[in-house]
Amino acid sequence: MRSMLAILLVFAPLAVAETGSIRGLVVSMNGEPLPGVNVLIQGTVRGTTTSASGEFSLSGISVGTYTIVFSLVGYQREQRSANVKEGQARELRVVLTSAPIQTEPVVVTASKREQSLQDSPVSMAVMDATEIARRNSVTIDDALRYIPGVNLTESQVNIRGSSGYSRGAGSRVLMLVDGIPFITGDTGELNFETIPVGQVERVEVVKGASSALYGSSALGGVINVITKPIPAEPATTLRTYGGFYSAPSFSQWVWGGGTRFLDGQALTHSRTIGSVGLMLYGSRMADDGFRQNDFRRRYNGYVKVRTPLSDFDLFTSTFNILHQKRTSFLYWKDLTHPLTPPDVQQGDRVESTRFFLSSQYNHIAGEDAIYTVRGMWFRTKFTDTIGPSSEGSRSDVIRGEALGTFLFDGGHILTAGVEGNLDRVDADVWGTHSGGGVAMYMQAEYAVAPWFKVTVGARYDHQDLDSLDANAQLNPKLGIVYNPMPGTAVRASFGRGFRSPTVAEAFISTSAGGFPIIPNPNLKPERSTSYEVGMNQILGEAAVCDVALFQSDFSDLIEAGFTPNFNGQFANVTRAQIRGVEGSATLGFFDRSSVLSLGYTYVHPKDVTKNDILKYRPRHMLYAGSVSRISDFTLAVDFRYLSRVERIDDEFVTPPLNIIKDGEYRVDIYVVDLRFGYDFAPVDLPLTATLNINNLFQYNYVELIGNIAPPRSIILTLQTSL
Amino acid sequence: MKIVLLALLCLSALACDGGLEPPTTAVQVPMGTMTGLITYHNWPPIDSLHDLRLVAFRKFPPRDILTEVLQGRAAVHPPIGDSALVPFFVDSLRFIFVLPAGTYDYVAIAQQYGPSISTDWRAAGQYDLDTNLTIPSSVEVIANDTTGGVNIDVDFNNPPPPPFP
Repeated sequence: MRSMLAILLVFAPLAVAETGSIRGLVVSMNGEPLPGVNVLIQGTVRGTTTSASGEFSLSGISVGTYTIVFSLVGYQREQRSANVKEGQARELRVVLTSAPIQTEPVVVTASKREQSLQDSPVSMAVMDATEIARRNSVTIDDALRYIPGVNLTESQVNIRGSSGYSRGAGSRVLMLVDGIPFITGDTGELNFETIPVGQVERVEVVKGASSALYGSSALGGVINVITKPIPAEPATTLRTYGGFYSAPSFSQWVWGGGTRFLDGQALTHSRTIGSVGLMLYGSRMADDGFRQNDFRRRYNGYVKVRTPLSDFDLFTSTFNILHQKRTSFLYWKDLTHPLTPPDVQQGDRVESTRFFLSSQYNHIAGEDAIYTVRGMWFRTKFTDTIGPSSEGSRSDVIRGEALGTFLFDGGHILTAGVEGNLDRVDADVWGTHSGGGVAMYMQAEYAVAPWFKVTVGARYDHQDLDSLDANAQLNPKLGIVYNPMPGTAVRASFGRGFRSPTVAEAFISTSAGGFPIIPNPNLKPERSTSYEVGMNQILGEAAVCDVALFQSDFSDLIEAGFTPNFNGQFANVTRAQIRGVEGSATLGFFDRSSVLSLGYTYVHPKDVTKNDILKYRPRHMLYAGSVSRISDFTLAVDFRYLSRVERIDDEFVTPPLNIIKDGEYRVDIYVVDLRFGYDFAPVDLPLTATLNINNLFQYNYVELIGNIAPPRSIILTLQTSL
Repeated sequence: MKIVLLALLCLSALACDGGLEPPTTAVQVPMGTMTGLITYHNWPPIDSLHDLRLVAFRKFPPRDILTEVLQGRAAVHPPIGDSALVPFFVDSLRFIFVLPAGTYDYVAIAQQYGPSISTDWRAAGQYDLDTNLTIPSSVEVIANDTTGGVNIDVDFNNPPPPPFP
């Protein structure tokens, strides 16, 4: 039995009869204390994290012998045995060895509980805060571009070919923040801009249908953003960046905007007052945009409060608000003027405000049960000046969930929960609509033997959206993990997914490009079934590799298209089958001072209905990255290749509509990003500096037809912590 | 390892290719200009004004607007992908229409009166120098030159005979 949710595990000492305690110190190889180390008692739900001085303490532990697991990003995982005696404190001193590669990261998304990546029966990827910071990502989706099997069309995520491009309406990938669904109530899209990127601990990506645990939208996978814990000692971090875009590659493309700049600042302060942990975060960003009429300004605030009610009860609340003003660049004038929008789009503006409020209560019942109750409220509001008149939308989503995780002798685990949601949308473009749903789920993980685990689960969802037919879904899952030897995990899984139509897809009524877009009150949910076999192999302390074969079958796919009368409409039009293979490897070399990451994915996304390839999916994706540390310098290079998208919406680029002139121009994508970093710690300055050169060779490409990607940008980032 | 790094270096070199570039104009179609005045009478209700375009057809009678445009036998002003329409509810409108040079047998104001872009069209007015409305007058557009005086009278209550089958 692996460790449990680390986020639950920061509890103060407790002295109880017939119990003892475990305390100690965690240090690095050179004797420096290590803060933030996860300390977990294997086979129980108990654990904690180390303080700034590297110390930890776990009390109220029943008498017995336990295995304690210590893990921290950048260090090898360690295990220690501890015999707890009544009324006594067992003391441990643990030394962690630095490791550039985390061969066996801990994940929480696959089973709604903490487990080793090798124990997950489905393919997963993890990107930690170090990687996110290293890429100077302004939003999380920037970082996702380098996860094997993931690609983005603008900000729409596609995991292993599951999604094409639906113009912001609906997503076949569910995004969670700390396990709570984070999608808008109107369009059902992922909202990367609202996530305070500086407060992200790690991002976990589940590749494949996951509706058996997460319900609607988890058709193609799940992205779970885990926010940072609140440290015990006061800490203040200031991060600021500034940079500019290079001039266009061709004189014809110059549009007269001069040098275009971007900059941003983020300030974080956290402290513990009494037993209450508090984190405050504020940021602003301004981006002139490299195209005409393409600027954005964004302000983001985030508050997290962690209140231990007792040694076994924890209450956590977060509040997040974002205000943004931006222009709307839908597509270029033509490829002779790719940085200029058509005249009719000049001056289009969008102003939006979003806020997210969530609370979570955790109760640890002894050493073999955790109960969690959580709720959230997500409001999105925008007004735009696109088209002949100003339009606006306001949507509210309220969600609640209660779940329990139970441990049984022999390492068996049962997870069960209920969920509910209420949605309301009031908008000019899709009217006033309300809906809701209830769900219940259960998952059992049965350890047939220490080297063979079976996971069986199912979730029942009932969703009802306004005048659409109510729909009920039962989505099962089955997974096995076989460990023939230490460091080797063979996995196989089957899971079903579904996605209910969003308000935007069902009820949109507007016009674009002179053509009407009409509602479709007969939309049905789309469904998928995913199968996968894979293997994860740890090779010593400096290498890990993973291979997977996968297939997903989709039915009633909701696609945007045109009716015979050339009205735009979302409809259940397509059956599809996506097959593919994926391989990834992370290797440490040169005495582990350098790390090389490789990922390759091949997908064959077939539109079964039309016997053609699915739209907006590249067949080949190859990502490679290298990070080298030489003394206090860091040099990193990332390379990204995506094959040319073979099929698009031809109606947009051919007569009679021909809305996007030269929209048929698209190429293979080859992008190289370069980073230099320096840590000023040796000169006693709490400062790091990073120079990012994105799109080093200024390769010109499109992810979305009629939208050229950013040229080279050069950005300097400074971060100081007090 | 060296092989892997070498392979990555070679792949990275592909990024030096440059990618997309401005399209080269393979064949320059000679263009000319048509100018004139459209005069309107008896505007209909807005619900029957889904679209209004000036269309120049190579041959008369045309099959239908979309087919003729699709097959390059008609030019539309403003272009059909452009959301800017011929303005509604004005007394008259001067136009400057840049289109491929050649002879256009039929120049008309096309009104989309219903929601269907493929079928709900009619001619609301046509260029005609005489009173024989069954055969419209043709317009010669000369390359790099302007053909003026293409004046069209539009009476929504009294449209010309339907040219579309």
